[in-house]
Amino acid sequence: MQKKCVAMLLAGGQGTRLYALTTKLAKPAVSFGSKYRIIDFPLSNCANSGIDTVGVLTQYQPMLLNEYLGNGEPWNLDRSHGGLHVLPPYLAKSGGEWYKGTANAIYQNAAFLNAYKAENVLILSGDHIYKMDYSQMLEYHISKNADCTIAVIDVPIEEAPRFGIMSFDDDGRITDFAEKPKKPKSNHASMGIYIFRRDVLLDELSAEERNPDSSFDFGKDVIPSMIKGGRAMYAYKFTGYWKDVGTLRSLWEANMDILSGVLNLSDGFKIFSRNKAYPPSFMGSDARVKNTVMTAGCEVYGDVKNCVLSEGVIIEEGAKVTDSVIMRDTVIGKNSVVSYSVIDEGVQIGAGCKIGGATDAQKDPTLIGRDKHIPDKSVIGAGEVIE
Amino acid sequence: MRTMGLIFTSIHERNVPELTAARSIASVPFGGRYRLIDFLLSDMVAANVSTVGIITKYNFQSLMDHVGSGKNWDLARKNGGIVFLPPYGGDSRMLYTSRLDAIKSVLIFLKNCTEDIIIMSDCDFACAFNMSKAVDYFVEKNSDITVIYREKVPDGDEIKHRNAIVTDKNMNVVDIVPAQQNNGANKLMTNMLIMRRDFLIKLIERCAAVGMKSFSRDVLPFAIREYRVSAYGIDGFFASIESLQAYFRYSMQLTDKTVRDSLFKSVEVYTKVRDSVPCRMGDGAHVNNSIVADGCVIEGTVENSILFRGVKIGKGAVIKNSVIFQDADIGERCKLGYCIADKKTVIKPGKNLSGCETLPYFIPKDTVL
Repeated sequence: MQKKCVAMLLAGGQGTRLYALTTKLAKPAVSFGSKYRIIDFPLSNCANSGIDTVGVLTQYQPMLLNEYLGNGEPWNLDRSHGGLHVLPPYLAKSGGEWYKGTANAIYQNAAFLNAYKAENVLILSGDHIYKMDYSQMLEYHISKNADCTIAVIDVPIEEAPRFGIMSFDDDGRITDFAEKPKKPKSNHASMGIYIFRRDVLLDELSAEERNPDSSFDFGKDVIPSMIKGGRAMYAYKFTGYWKDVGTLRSLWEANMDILSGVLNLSDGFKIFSRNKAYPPSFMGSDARVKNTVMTAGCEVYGDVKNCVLSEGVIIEEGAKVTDSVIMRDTVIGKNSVVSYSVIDEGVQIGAGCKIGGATDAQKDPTLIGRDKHIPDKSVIGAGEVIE
Repeated sequence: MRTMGLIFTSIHERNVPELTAARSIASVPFGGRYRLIDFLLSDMVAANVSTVGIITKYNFQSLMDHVGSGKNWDLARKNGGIVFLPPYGGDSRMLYTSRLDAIKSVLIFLKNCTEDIIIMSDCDFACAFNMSKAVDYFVEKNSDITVIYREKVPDGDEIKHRNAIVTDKNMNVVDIVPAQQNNGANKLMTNMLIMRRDFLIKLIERCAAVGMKSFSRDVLPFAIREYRVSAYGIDGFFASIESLQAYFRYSMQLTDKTVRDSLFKSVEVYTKVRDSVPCRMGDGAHVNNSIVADGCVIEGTVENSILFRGVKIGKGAVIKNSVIFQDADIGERCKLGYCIADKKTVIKPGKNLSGCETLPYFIPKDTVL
């Protein structure tokens, strides 16, 4: 059967700027927004866009990610024809190698795209938080008869040097593209979401393979060379919420965007996730919870303000937690004070600890890595990372 | 030894007409995010039960919607798994009127199963217990039937619809008597029975042939006279939903940690995944001694209450000692005390509603007040 569009989700990156959060798991599997993991967003977008075939390219620390993805059932991707496929690097008769870059990862899985006779290929990455109906972008791509369509979002000009920046004409045709330019010509940033015609994509990727200087990256190599080669490249403008959560600070900010309502999770466009069996949350007699989101299994006996709590978090009596992201099954001990911090899954913080400092846009939050035990009365200062 | 389950989802629902107006007793919501059947199914799954027959009668759409294929309990299987048994199945031409009739109407299903042991249960309670231990006991005792009982709670436990068993010193059942407050019969039947599947089929065929009408009045007393019937006691929290008052009382007990641990922590309780958003508590929220499920948006005060998934509590509203079902919307400045608000209830701003501890005020499903 022929598929109109197959999605390829690049989920193999380490995400070094998330430090201890990605010591044991791939970036797309990092917890986000109380009950989600980052990868839930692109996968749910697929589910909500009628895309039923998704290849997830994994490489770095894939075990937890694989377990989380399973057969894709939470995202409606357990299909007899299509569905979710995890695509790790593999050995072949004549060698085989690790994925050398985003473009090379897709190139190595050309057989997957060919097997589904995908007319178009949607390339996604696993480090962005946004809700998007890809079917509209696909319609645009087809109506423009484009070789490649890139989703763009306008960013503040001072942030433009962090992105791939492009210029396009009135028809939307891209005339110029620069990856992380020092002097950006515009504020139209690439969201790292591309739709290619499969034949064009595979042509370009095999050309890239023959280029000895290539770093096999879409933004650095493939897109610029396609523009140079005169391919029909179009920009698809997106105006909703979109955030790259590749850094600790931006991950924290995106969590806080749920509290402020900037990121609206309850607008009817559902984000799906794999649920574990937790009982509903319980607020104790002396609990004081303000401006906070939480999901099942939490028990709060202390004070919580401006926080995002994942499943099974316990805040003991007298503890004060503010402006923080607390991930699954973490316990904050009695009378401990936690502020401006990101606490990873399974952390045990003892009694009377002091963690973190004042909220500071110039500084990363304090970070405590997975399954750490912090003894009673510890003091961990602003911006420290415990790995 | 492989074990299967057989659940009666409609028996005793006349005891709580309010809650069962729009659903069978098995799909009555309980504990913030569950339906009663979730506890039984989860207990069964934890005991490696691989086939569960669900006998339905009236009003079973909500139950079918909730259980679905059974995948949330890992019971969507190629062989066995969840099997819905609606009325008029097999060779029955009549809507069954008794438990015995109901079992007779599913005899073909029972004969087609391959499991050795069957656990038969009603679904008007919530409890978590280690079912495989009970099955082990049944096998070790070499019983024909094991009756699962719980000790009568000394004060105020509603028992008017219950039978109690009388046992000898070897825990063999010698009699069944109506449960009364002071007759010394303290072993209340839970209406969970364990037996061999082939034994059940033979027992039912034999009793039906001689024209017996009732399972509890005829078949069980007959079995106690003729066969080896043993008793197995369970302890821990057992919410027996015998009236709206009982429902309310057991719901309120969930604010006690030992009760929650007994119900939620001894067995992993699975339920239908709804993909609700996380619960949000706003700047005006004061939430104390309460259970709160996903998807709630709370801007007011909530004390000693149970909020199911997707409940909205408006600014300045005060909810005390109440149970609010899924997707109910309580407007600003409302005051609710001792209320049970059924699913999708909408209370307009400023309303003041109150029952009392022994008689909660019930607001039916989809009511707009």
